[in-house]
Amino acid sequence: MKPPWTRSRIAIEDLSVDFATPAGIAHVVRNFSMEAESGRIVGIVGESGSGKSTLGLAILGLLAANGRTRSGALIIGDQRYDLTRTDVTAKLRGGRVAMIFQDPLSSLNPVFSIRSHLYEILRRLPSAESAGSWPIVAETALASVGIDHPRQRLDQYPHELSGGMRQRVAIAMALLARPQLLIADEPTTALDVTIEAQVMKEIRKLRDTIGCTILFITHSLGLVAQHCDDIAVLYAGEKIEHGRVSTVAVVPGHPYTSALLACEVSIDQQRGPAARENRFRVIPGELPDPHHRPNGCIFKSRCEFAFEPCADIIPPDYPGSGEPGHKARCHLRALG
Amino acid sequence: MSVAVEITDAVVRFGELPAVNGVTFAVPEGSCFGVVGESGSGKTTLMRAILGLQRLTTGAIAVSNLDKNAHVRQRARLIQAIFQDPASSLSPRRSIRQSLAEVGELLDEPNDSLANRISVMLRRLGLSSSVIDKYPYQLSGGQARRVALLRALLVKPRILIADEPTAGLDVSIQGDMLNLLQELRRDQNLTLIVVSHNLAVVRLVADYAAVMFRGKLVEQGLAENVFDAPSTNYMRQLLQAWPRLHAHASLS
Repeated sequence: MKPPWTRSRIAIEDLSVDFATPAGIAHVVRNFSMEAESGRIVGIVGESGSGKSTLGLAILGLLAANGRTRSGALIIGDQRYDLTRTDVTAKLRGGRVAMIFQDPLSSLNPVFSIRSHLYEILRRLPSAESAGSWPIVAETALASVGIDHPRQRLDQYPHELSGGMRQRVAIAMALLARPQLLIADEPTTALDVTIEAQVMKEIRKLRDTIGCTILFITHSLGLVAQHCDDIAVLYAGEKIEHGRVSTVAVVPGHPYTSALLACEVSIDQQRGPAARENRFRVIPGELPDPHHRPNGCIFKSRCEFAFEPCADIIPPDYPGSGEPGHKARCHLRALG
Repeated sequence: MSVAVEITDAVVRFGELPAVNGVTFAVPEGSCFGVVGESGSGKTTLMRAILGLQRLTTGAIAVSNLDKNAHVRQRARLIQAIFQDPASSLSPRRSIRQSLAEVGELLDEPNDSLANRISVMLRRLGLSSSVIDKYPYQLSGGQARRVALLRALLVKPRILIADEPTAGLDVSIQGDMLNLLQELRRDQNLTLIVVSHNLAVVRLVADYAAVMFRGKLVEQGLAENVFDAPSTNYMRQLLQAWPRLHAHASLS
């Protein structure tokens, strides 16, 4: 089965998303841009309130009723899709762009069998397989993501499967849809560590099979370090750093990225002689109010290195290190 | 060293299913005992049994010198817990002040004295005094967890059970919660039982650790042995699957 389209560069341009709230307009994603070569897995990292999930939902036009994509475009190869238009995002969904959600029990329809979910994808494919071949295509898809007894599974319902199995079904659906961009929003958060490793392996295999670009949205730097090629770090709705994982994890260009890396509790971290003496790193302070962006650097109120220009001047993308493509929005980088 | 909690051959069955299946371990007083394992391994059921919220099918759990027939309220004075989802362990219909007032009833403590202790502990836990008149839905995840901890500590327990104390917290604030628990151990010689699937965290806070798998303890001992020289394949697999930040060593 060949992909219906060829490999293409993916870019997101100037994506901004607002939410109308009782306290006014909350600017949840501000001017997010990035690009990735085809077949890269890009980790979108951020904490609660960073806008990382909103980013994925905006691309698919799945924002809540009070959300609005103020600006933004998705570029796939030489095609440009206006993300502010719901008719455009509706066409992207399940076609060129697919998504795997954190909780597959809520993204899979409880009243439809696994078979119905997979057939739905096949029905929508531009290069439609003949309906006679669907059973075998669906069964093969389940088998290829490591689901045992695939024929029997086709007639089961989402609630009859374990959490790991449900995520595999979601991956099988993506495999059939053959999107050019796959958005995976915290796909392993609800899973145990051994199942998480298996599901990540399947996601990478999917990328290798169909050559799609993957936006892997997560709060886990460990997962990004292990499974992604590139990383974009979000803070309070803004991208503050972007580059190859192998570079950013070793020489982060932004103090927030450094602090996040330092807070991550590692399994092989040095331990004090007495457990009760071990201390943990934190980032003091709170996220800025999304209704009122502070002047200057978005991270300045929590940054231990903040200096004069941070107060008023929004830092542009400075080179984060010597490596091409590594960018960090921190005035410190202007000092070299 | 005296023993705070001693569990002997504990079994909890739900119908035919043994959720906890012949578990035996002892928690020395003043220590931190970590229980790790995957979903469905029986960790939370075992903790509920220690709290007296879940009857054992067979076996015994001895808590300090408490009579085994002691009422759950007597047990509550000795052992407190913070649960996985702190917002759900606080009543949604009551303000934090109202929820905390229940502790006064448990301890027969006059309102003034309780109010004093609450304001001291709010400061200690880094919570603003305005939190007291809020409802659970108005709190952030980190705040809700501190309020749950405050409620537990107000009882002045000797033993605290923390079920997934960092689940759902951002990495930038999870350290706050862990540092707090560490301080309480140092300052009040609190015995701490931490239940978590977060191996990296338990490895750093626990003196002793036990690994549960399908209701059984498959490995237990000093935390450094369990985590750094595990004797079972299962624990080795768990540790191997843990995502690693290779850059960490070079950063620190």
